[in-house]
Amino acid sequence: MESSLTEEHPLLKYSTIKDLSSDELEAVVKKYIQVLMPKPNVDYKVYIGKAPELREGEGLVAYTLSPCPNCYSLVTAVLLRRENKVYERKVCPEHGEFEELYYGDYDTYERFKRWQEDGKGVWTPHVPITQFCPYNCGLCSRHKSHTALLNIAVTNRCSLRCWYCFFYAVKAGYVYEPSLNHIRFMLREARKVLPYPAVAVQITGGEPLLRDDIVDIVRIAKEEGYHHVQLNTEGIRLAFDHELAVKLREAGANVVYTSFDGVTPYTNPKNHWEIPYILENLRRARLGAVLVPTIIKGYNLHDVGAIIRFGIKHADIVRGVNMQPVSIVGRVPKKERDKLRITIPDVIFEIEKQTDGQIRREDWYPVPTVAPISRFVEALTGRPQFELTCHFACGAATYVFWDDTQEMIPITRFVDVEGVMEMLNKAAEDIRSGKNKYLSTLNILSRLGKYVDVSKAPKRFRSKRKFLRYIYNILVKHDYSALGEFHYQSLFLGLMHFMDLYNYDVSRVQRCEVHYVMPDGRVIPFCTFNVLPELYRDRAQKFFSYEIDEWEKLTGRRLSDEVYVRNVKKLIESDIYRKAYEGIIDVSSIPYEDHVLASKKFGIPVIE
Amino acid sequence: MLLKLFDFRVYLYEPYTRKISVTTRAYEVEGGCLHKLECKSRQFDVTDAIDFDLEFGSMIQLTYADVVFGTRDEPFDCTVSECAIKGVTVLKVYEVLIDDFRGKLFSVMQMAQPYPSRIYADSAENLAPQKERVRKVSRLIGVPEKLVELA
Ligand code: SF4
Ligand code: SF4
Repeated sequence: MESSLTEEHPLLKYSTIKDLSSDELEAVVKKYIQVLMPKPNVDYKVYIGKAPELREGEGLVAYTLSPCPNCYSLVTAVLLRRENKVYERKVCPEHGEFEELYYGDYDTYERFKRWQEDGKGVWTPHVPITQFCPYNCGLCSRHKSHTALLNIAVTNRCSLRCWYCFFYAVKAGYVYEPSLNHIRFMLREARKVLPYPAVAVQITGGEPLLRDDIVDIVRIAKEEGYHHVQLNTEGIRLAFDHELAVKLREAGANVVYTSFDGVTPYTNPKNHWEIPYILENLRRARLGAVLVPTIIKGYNLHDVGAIIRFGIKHADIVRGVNMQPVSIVGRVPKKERDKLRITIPDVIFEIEKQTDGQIRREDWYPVPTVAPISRFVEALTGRPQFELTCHFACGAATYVFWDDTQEMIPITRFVDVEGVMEMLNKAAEDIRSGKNKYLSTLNILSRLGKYVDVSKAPKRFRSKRKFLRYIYNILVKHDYSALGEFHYQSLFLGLMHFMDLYNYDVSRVQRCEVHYVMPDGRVIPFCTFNVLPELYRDRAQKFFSYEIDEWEKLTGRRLSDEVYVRNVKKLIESDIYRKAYEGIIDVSSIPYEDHVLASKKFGIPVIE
Repeated sequence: MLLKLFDFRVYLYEPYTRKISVTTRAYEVEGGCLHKLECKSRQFDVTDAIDFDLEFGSMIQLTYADVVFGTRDEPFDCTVSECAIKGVTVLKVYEVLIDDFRGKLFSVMQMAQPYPSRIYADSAENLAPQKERVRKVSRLIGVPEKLVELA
């Protein structure tokens, strides 16, 4: 096996291992874990003795550890309260002070904090503890949550050339594209993490649909025990290949996550024109979609209400809208950051404004709110259950329903979420302390009705029996087809704020439940994989990559041929386009030149 | 070879409240008997943080980051005892109090070069009854159950 190893750039010639079986690969690639792990005093230093001081008018919220945005050194940071917002401040002895908005509303911070629960940790770590968190990924045995969603990057090729991205093959200077056997090995490794092996996987890239064998990858994921398989794609290929969505669904794909940053060409130059066709093809294939807007202040924050309405308009195929307040990648000056920075409470408040109070701030709950459901089912079955236990500041969610008037009704208006969760927690405790399981369950069923006020629910849920049956099926029979049915009649709204170097908080990443599996088999939290890319993502992918020339020779293709060129004229001409946005925006009021300019400015060329 | 023991009490406020106290004893295993280790004590230092995580990360789900994050302005009250080891196998016994839970946890270390390795450790998240664990440990280190129980 050829490998040239320098301190800074260890590299392996990927073509020498590309034909190995997954078992052979295991023996080979795991040897490189030590080589690829971050190195103290080379990749980072540790200055965690002294915490930054508070100033007048500031109150202490908590201390934490966080990397210096310039040199990755680990420093002590303080979370402080000022004017009812939470900020993070840290001082690197080499690069000075950094201060960043951490959470836009202290009251929401306190309300969400009440729901924190920790998971059961990692009983079968992939690496021993030898370094500080987050330089010891992973997972190491201090990690607190199991993998709720595993990501696997299957290529770094992409057909778009978004101006802000440095990750795709042409910019990176290499092609990362693990073999099918290698993918199988990675998926297997990730499922070795006990007590609860990953069951949900997101196939991502680059652009995963550029791989001709993408359908085989979906099939492999199913074979390896992943019940839920989703694809993360900009969707361009789905827009034009009518058969692809059908093939993906038949292979076992459950849902497609696709970027959707706004309802106009100005706010969504990435795929505004293709989205109607993507949804149409998914509809034909009966494959659900989740829209994933990245929310940036001063750019598309004013679109959040319309994005939700767009989701509801297409609710026959759109299962959810998962908004992501921007994670500011790379090193960006404070002034620039302030123009972009937005946090979860800021988005929640804006949604309240833009939906005329139909979705209010109280309708949102942090992710760990649902942990009592897992605790209860676990007590009932005696088996570890899937649980969502990320840090309360990482994410929030709600469900909305609607009635004939198109008025949105969040679940919290007719279900007393807090009451239900309290009751489940109590029942789990009772069962654990020896109470009869069946009596406890019966007791829950008899009391469940108390927490549901169907008179406030949308008309189709006004049958209390029907609604309670959903809940009963999910909780007691573990029949999640009920959840599927529930999904078709509601829209999931989620928020996850991925961290960046400026607001990084080790306490959050230790509870991370969105992970990546690396080509060497390690499992890495999303927020170290992407936030410390030189130490994790790029280092590992580069190590297991082809040189571009070599890849082009091997495949007989050229990366430059894959660039997407948009035919705006053709895309906006069709009824599919117009109907998709009808009632949301007036597409006829957008001049053709604006369409072209928006696309080009973003970096996507146009056939004129 | 040096072995570290941690005795501490901590009240955490963030991200949720927890009251934890731990005291640790260690015994060298020799000829089917346990010999309590003599150790020198000092205050906790940040250079102990990785060892702290190694000890408690999986055992009671507590890490140095939790301690930093959660303690507001109270200093972390922790004594570190350093013990010189001559033998090969060490039994550690932890008296643990986490909110309403009070119990004894065990770990067994193999003092091999270059690093000692943990060959057994309880986890508060997955705790069998003490009797079962004592039996397991006793078999593993070749010491009568009674002695392990009383350690
Ligand atoms: S983020 Fe998790 S896996 Fe990574 S070093 Fe921290 S605790 Fe370990
Ligand atoms: S990916 Fe980031 S934001 Fe999401 S759970 Fe993990 S640490 Fe939190």
